Amino acid sequence: MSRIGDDDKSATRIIRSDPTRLVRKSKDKKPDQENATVKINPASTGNSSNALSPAEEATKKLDPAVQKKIEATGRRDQPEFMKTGDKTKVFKPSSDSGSEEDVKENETPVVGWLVIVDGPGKGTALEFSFGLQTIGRDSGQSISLDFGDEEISREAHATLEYDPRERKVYLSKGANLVYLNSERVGQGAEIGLKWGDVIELGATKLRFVSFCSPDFCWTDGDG
Amino acid sequence: MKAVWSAAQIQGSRDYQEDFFAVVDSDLVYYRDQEYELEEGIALQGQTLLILADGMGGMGHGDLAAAQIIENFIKYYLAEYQDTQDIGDSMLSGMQSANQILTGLVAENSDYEGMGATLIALLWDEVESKIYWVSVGDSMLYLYPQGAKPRRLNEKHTWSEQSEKLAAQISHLSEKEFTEIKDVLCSAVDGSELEMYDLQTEGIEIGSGDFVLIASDGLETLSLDAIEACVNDSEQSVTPADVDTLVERVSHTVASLIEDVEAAGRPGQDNTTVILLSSYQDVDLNINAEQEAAAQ
Repeated sequence: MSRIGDDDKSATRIIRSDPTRLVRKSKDKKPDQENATVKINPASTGNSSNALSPAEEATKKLDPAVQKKIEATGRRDQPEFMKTGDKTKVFKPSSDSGSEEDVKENETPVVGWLVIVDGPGKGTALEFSFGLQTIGRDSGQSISLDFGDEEISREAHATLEYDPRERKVYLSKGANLVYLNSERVGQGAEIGLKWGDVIELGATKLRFVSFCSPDFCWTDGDG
Repeated sequence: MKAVWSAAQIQGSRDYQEDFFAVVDSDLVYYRDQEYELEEGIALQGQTLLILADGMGGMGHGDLAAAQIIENFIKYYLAEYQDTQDIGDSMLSGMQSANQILTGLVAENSDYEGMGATLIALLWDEVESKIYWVSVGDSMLYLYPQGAKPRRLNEKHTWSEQSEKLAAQISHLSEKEFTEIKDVLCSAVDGSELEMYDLQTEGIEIGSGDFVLIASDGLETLSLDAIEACVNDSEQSVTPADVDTLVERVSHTVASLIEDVEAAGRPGQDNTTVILLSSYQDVDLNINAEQEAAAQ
């Protein structure tokens, strides 16, 4: 159960804990604490099941999930059930639903998405909100395209901006070449996007999907 | 009726161990090779809680999710039980609270999006000789009644198994698309709203010599017949002279199942965790022990 090999490809070790204990018998009978067998196997990346919420979109469901490295779980600090006195909210089946829920508003409500339909990161949806949205490889960009397409500028390859008054998202060219539906976006030009438009940056193609539209915007009075 | 349990796990050929389990046995918690003693007020009386979470490797951070689920399930189960003495409410509280913790973690760090795990929490109550459970996902929960056919106790939350309930969603999929996701989970503890879970609040009575098996799907490397044969092998020999012998047998069965999985040598073998619980009539055992003592 211990974590090993977090740092690199490393060997897989088989660890077995085998605590057997009599239920409700006196504490004098301690389990075998550990019976660790060590084996060296060639590392292999398994592909286990992807959990999908039925409510998710079909395209999202079928994407192969990315195997990610984990850094947060080598921890051996006090498990949660031994901690007391913290203020984590507890779900109470008896309490009225929602009455004690924290009502939080997202400060960056979704305005639309760019979905990578071709190139590295294909299948990924990138959400964006109000304000000037810079698109680039850098992680600090509003819309970060760090999937391995080196042709994309680090910063402000292109920008998007949603205009709540017009209820439209506008695309502008930045530091590098940008194509919209295969046509060049000129310097200084600002083009209003339509649902399904394809933006090309380097070797990456992004499809624009709007959420805010003429019939809905977050700035509408929501009572 | 009393019960004994044993648990073991292997990493298989995966890079990470994303199966986590814990056992709350009266006032002791067994978790990650350590024991934690619970305060008197919060400890269980005559009950044992067995919990397994199989982190979803394909979604990333499965081990973090599984550990959080185990730890928070225990925390909130015990707190709710202390308040209400209601097993069903406590199961719900443990599951929903653990789920909410994940929602919070994902909200704080978008890298965690999609992380989650299956969950089986099973409570054994020795006074009523009953088991109760809550289950989400595709981990295995089986009952092996002595001398009768084994049966799966929990629902399996995969697209093919739940196709009736998911008919509306499936109707949008082509046959090929459905084939691709049929073994994929349709419900897991992953911070999103838990719409599909299996909660047993009435309890099922367990007889002497019956076995209850909880396992992650890594055990599915073995056929159900092979698992049954292994469990029955120890079942037939359950006329133990004393409790220690029974403990040994349960432990041996768990070890055999794990060894069989290893021996199968399946490429890409998934993490595998096996927890086995067996009940026994403690009076009988005492009589046996007395007879034995008298014979000496």
